[in-house]
Amino acid sequence: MLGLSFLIFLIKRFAMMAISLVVIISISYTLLRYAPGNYLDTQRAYQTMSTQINQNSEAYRVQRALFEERYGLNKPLYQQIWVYISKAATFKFGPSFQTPSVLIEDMVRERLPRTLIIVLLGIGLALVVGIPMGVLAGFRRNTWIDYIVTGFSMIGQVVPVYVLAIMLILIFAGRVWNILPGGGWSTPTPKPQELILPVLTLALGPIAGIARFTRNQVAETMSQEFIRTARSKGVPEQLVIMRHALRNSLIPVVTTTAPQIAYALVGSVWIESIFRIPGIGQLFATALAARDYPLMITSVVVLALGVMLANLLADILYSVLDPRIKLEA
Amino acid sequence: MAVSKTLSPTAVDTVPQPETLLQVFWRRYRRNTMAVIGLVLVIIFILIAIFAPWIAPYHYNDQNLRNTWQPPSAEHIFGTDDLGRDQLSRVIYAVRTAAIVGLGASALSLLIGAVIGSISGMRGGWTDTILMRLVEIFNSFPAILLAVILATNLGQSVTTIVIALAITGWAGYARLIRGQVLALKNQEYVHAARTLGASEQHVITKYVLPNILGPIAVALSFGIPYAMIAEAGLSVIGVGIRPPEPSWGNLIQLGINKMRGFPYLAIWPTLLFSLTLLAFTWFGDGLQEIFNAKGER
Amino acid sequence: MSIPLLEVEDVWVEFKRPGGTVHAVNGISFKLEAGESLGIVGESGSGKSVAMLSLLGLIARNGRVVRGSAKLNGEDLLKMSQQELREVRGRDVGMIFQDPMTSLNPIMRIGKQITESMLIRRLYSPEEARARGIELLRRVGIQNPEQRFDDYPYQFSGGMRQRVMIALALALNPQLLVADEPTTALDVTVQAQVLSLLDDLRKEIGMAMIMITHDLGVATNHCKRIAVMYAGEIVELATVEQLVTNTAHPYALGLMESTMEIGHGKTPIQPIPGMPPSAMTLHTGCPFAPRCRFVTERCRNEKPVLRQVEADHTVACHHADEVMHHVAEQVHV
Repeated sequence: MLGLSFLIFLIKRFAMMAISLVVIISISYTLLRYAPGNYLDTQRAYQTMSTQINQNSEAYRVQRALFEERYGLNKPLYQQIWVYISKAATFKFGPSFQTPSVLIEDMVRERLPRTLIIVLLGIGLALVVGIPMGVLAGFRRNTWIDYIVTGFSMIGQVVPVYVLAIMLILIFAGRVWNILPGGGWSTPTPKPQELILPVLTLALGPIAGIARFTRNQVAETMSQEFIRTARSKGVPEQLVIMRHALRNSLIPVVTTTAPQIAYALVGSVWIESIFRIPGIGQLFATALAARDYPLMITSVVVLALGVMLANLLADILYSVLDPRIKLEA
Repeated sequence: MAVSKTLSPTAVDTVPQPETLLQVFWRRYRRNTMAVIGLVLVIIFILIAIFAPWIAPYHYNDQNLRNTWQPPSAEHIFGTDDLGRDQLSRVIYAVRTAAIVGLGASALSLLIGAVIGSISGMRGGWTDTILMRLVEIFNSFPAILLAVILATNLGQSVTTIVIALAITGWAGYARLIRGQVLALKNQEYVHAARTLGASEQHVITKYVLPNILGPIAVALSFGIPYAMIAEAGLSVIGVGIRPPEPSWGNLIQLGINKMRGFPYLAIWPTLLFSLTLLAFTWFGDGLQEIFNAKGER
Repeated sequence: MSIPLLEVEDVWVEFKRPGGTVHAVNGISFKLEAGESLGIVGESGSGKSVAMLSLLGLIARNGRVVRGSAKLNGEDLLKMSQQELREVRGRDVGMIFQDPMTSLNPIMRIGKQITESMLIRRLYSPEEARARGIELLRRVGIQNPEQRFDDYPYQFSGGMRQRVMIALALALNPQLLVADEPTTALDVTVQAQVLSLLDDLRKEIGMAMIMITHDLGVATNHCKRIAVMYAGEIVELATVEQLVTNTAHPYALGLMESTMEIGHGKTPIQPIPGMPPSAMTLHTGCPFAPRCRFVTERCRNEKPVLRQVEADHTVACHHADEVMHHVAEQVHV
């Protein structure tokens, strides 16, 4: 597996990722600059800064010129894009509009681990709960267990995170039954109770997706012919299940974990907003509200990078587990 | 274990009445109970959207500042909000907005995707490769984040949200259309038409389109709830459709903000929103089943 | 005379479906001596696969053997517990199936699959098992067995995979090999190779074989006796010579005429008109009546029973003599 072909695959893959990011960044910049009714308008940016200056006064114009100068907004678009990308390649994203004294990369560094904790815990929970659910339903096809699991999966996959968040908060942190905090994040380390609801909310969608996928895989594997071959050799049923059925059906589950991680990363934007968690998702949300463009673009880039890396990891893992699969870019 | 059609070479004499396509579809669709429930709910949804002004007891922006923050009562079945507006009416009008956003965004996405997909499929070669790479890039990126960025700058009206969603959601449709075009391009009757001199555009409209209506219908039935989810998601962060125009999104957003004090504001929009999403999903699953059941009676 | 290796008597198999009961096997009986080869021939849906699978408990969960006995070396398989049946599988009876692509676990090395039946019974140490496995691979004609032992199924061609299946089935030296359509999924040239491999192995080991197939030609070339099945019943049971030169059942005759030219080469190949009956209904008369050219009223009302027409030749038809007469005429024309 390791060796030249793997290296080539990795290089090709990273190249694709880089190109995708560059394209997305360019498109975003362009849209922000030229979208009708709104572009990198200093009026707007200015609104986030000082408060009482008369817009026609000399002082305002000077401030505005300074602002443009500092953020390079007076340069032509392609140059702005180029500057951003070349700096981003070295993980320097410059200062944000809102807090010129704080560099974005520092904000990212501080917040990223928090988002990662929630996402990883959430996906971990999803695997631990979802896979057994799916396996059980797959072996007991068309029984009431199967119907419950399938029904739950459908609901979990359709209902969006913010709705799930509301429901969980109303149930566990509401008037009737207030046993968990409805948000917040203590520093430097969060209290365990604070983690429960966000992680649970984030995990519900992936639990549903993983359970449904696993169930289908197990059901399909059990109807395959090699199961019958194993039985015809006299292999005891338990070994048939463990050695033949499970191993074959669980490998593809790796592939479904990647989209779930993507879902979780994107979902963190809403989870962190609702539960007031200071992570990357919340960074993006506040950047949006304040029209803080560098911050917006950067946090999106970070999230998108996370999604792409998750996909890459899933592909690699899958090829390791399934001897039939060879990696190709 | 073969199922027999005739027991002897001398076949039966009765010939069954030919069924119309619609009848065939309905018969298959009917088998799936959830799909039928979904269909009923979708129809109700559409009816509410169309007849909103006649159904709603109040106008959505009927403010009554002496009646704010009321819990559910006989007069206001869902209660009132910070400006004393009746929530039930706002929900009803929100259905209308959702219909517009859902249908508008997915139809527009479909249009963009169809154009790109069919050009890509028909032309092939470099055009195809480049366009498909573009699709890949758009797909590898969570579309909703892009939509969010767009929406912050296009503004916060129904129109701009629809445009933002359309611009970021076309990739899936493009791939679908291209696939269909490729499959059909090589069919015999298309060859025949082209040898007779039919233009590319003619081939597309007369041959390709009728055959892909099925998959398109399925794609749309899933695209509509996606658009609704995206719009609501935008509102929850604060960049969706602005009040006073009610949408699922801003109703839910108000609910979230006031969850501590007035939980009932969140409950109804949330539940009904979820129900709508489920309805469309069941509907879409049902459609998928009938269009995929090839060679089955 | 010692007892036969396998003695099947009046076995009936049913499947419960939402629409009704499927009567897959309707009272079959036959004997198989040690070292003998029997071909079970029939169309798809005739119940031939189900018949043998059900004896070993390998049919789907909604299927049951509702009547009859199947004695392997004197012990009734149908009365065995799950545990006992498990012992029989692999050790006394080996099976190979139709599609080697899907019958082997795609993510398990073939060596491991071959030695699995040895290792779970702790009959050999892992090293011994591996050595035996390599030897088996050599016996079935796989080149470089030491290297190939650790390969995966996808690294073999179709014919080679079927050889691997054979090695797998023979791992514990069973007395009986059941081959369910072993060559249907293979190319014609490869078919011949695999079949002759089976012949050689049988001669070497002295193993009995039941070959289930829809291909009458394959059965006549590699089996000593043939049982023709239709609609879940055995309609004719005879040696190959008897079947070919002295066909006694109209369906068997139809099969011969539609596939082969031995002895009946004067008439062109013609298919049997009509379709096999639904397995959801049990028939009062002969199940082949609707398609039979020798049919009379008696056939529709009275079910024919297997009766002997010559030594070791039984047939279930009221008009067997007519059929045989017809055949005799053809041969002499």
